[in-house]
Amino acid sequence: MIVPDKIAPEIGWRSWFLSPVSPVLLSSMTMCFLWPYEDAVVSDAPPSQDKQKGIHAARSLHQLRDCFGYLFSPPGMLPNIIGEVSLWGEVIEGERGFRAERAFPRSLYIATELWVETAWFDIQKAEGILRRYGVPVHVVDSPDDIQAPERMAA
Amino acid sequence: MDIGKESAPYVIEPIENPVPNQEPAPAPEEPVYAPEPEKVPA
Repeated sequence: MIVPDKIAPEIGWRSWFLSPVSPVLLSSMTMCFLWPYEDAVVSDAPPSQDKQKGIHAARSLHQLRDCFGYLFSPPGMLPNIIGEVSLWGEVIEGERGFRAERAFPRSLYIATELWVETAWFDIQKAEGILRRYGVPVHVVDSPDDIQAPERMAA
Repeated sequence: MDIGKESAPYVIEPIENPVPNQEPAPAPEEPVYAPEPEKVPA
């Protein structure tokens, strides 16, 4: 029996696209990796096995912006979604983020100001898809409207 | 994503399931015992 070191998940920040194929799901930005509605995403190996393993997340919005160079995609790129993720299982904490064995979205944000309507999604459709995850979905005007005071400053 | 200098790994087992859509595990079924065979008078 493994005795856990903690009983509350770590909270990180991530960015996703919506996959343009059915079923429409959150898709990782850097890998073609889909996030199901009803189950945690599980890493193919524990994070301690290899530096590349684990579900990655930034510690704060500030660090997420540093990672991609923006929070929401600039015009000309596919629109993205950002949000908090719960992280658990085996976890490694870093200065700028986490690598975890399991993850699931905790809250999701779309910015109307930067949402570029595509042939696949207008913003209402995107919001409806995100609601299937069963977590709070926030449609904000701009990134400045995201309320995450204690973690944003970290 | 490079997360910078890393801690040692640790294990988190949340007491509340972070996946809201997941149905709770079904309650274990009552054990079913076979009825005792009727005693037949010798």
